[in-house]
Formats: sequence, structure tokens, C-alpha cells
Amino acid sequence: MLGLSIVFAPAWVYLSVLFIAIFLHPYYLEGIVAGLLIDTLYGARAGAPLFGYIFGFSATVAIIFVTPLRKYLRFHA
Amino acid sequence: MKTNFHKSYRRINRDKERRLTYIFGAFIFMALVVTLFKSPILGLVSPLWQGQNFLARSFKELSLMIKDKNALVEENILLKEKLVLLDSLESSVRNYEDTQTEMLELFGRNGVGDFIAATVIARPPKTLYDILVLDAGEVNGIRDGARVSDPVLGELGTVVEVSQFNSKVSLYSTSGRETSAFLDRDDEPVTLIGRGGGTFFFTVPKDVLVMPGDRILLGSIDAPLVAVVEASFIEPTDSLKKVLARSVVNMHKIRFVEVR
Repeated sequence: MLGLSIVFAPAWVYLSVLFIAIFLHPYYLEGIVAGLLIDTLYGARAGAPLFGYIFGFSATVAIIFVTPLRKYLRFHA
Repeated sequence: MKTNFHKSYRRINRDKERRLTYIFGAFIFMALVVTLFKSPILGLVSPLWQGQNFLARSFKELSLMIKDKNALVEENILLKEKLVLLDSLESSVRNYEDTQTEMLELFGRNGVGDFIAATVIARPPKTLYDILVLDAGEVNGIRDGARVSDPVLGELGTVVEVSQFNSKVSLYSTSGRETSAFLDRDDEPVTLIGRGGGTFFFTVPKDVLVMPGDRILLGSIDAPLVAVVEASFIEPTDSLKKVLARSVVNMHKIRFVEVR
């Protein structure tokens, strides 16, 4: 679903889906792949290869920060 | 009482470190894999984009066919008005280009030269940071740094990344990108700063006359049209005038481009 939205939907759709998915699923490592896919398809990189992966890196950081936060949240009534 | 508080705390820290290493390791590994397979990934996705564009065009044509008569009449009037505007803009651009070409020939420099035609397969808002993805790449002769322009209206940007069958164009309006240009009215040199979404910002001394609709030309020998002034602002205490400009090409609707 996320992959399809990256290919076919506008940026605001797939970025929202990506960060919501990272928030909802624990250890959503697929989010890193999705971020890297966004960078590969739409990003224009210059310089060293790894530094151009802005959304891949952002997804990684988001996963790191969201994972401990999830302990303090509950997703049911 | 004996507690194992310190031990647990250490274990928690170790777990955190392990988790961090694991996630960053995953990122680096995946980034390396994606870097290796970048060209095939683009090659796989570009037919999907072409299919999407084809379907979008077909649906648009179909919707035009089933629209009611009144809506079509209204649209026709709007399109005629737009056509008149575009005609005047195009003739102005053509006149300017003819003069430029004559001037360049006088000085022994080639004007237009050869170009490679390419179709835009992904554009904003699908792409981020004012990037266009073209269906032509290395095999078609496109090189890094090549200039990209609209066939009629003006200059768009430069090629920043080339794979075998695709290439990416960074528009001059990409946020933060600086481009040397000059105002056509009085040859005042300016540095256009991209603001994203096809818009630019620049400053000029407050004595320089800038009016909405003034043309801004690229600072190269053939000086193609890049943008048109939208508005200017000045505070009484400022020594510089802030000017907002817009690209002459609607980047959301570009279908074909020329790469030089």
C-alpha cells in the first residue's frame, strides 16, 4: 500500500502514510526502505552516496524516537 | 537489602545501544543495497509512471466527452482567453529568441544548437523539491549538468542525475538554489533564490525600477527567459527591495522538455 502510494500518489499522501505507519507499528523497518525508495525515485543527490538519503535517514530517526514513546501510549480504550 | 538496580540499568542501556546499532545498521545496509540497484529501480518504476500518465490523459479526454454542453461552452471561452494570452507571450518570446539568435550569430556563437526531446514522467506534486523525472537517460545522450527548457516558454533547470534510461532535473526554483540572472528592463544583475513551487525571491537596490510582469533572463550568453516578476515589497527603512518572481512554465503541467 505504502509502496503504491509512493509510486502513484502526491508527496503529501505518501509522506503522511509513511510517518503514520512508523508511529503505529513497532520497529517499522519497512519505513526505512520506503524512505530510501522516496529518495531514490524523487531525490536528486549530490556528494557522498549516503548523505543524500534524506527521507531514509528521517524514517530511521523517527523509528528510533517513536519506539520508546510507544510504551507510554495505548491504542485501545 | 541487596538490589540489582545498577545491573538492570546497565542492561537497559545495553539494550538501547543494541537497538540503535540494529536500526542504524539496517539503514546503512538498505541504503547500500538501494544505491547498488538504483538504476534498475528507476527502470522498473518509470513504465508505471508512463502508464499512469497515459491513463490520466485518457480519463481527461473521456470526461471531456461526457461533459454537458454548457460546461463545454464556458470552458471554451476560458480556453480562448488563455490562448490569446499565451499567443502574445509566445510571440514575445519568439521575437526575443530571434533577436538573440541574430546577436549570437553576429558574435560567432551558436544560438539554439541541438537538443534532445524528452517526456516528463514524474513532476511535482508527486516529486519533492521541484524535481522532474524524464524518460531519457544516458543512452539517449543526456549528460549531467545539461540545461533543460520548455519547448516554447523558457528555461527550467539543469540535469542533476542521470541513469541509463532516466534522468532527473532540478528546477531553478528548487528551494535554496541560487541562479545568476538579470532583469530584462535595465540589465540589472540579480541572484534568483528558489523558494520551491516554481517561485523565486531576490533583492535589488531600492532605486531599481521593478514592475510586475518584468522579465528575468538567465545569466548565460543566450539569456533565455527564466521567470517573470510577480510583486515587489519595500519597507521605508530598507535599502533593498524584495522581489517575488514566478517561473513562466507551470511545472505541474509540463509534458515535454528539451535537453541541451
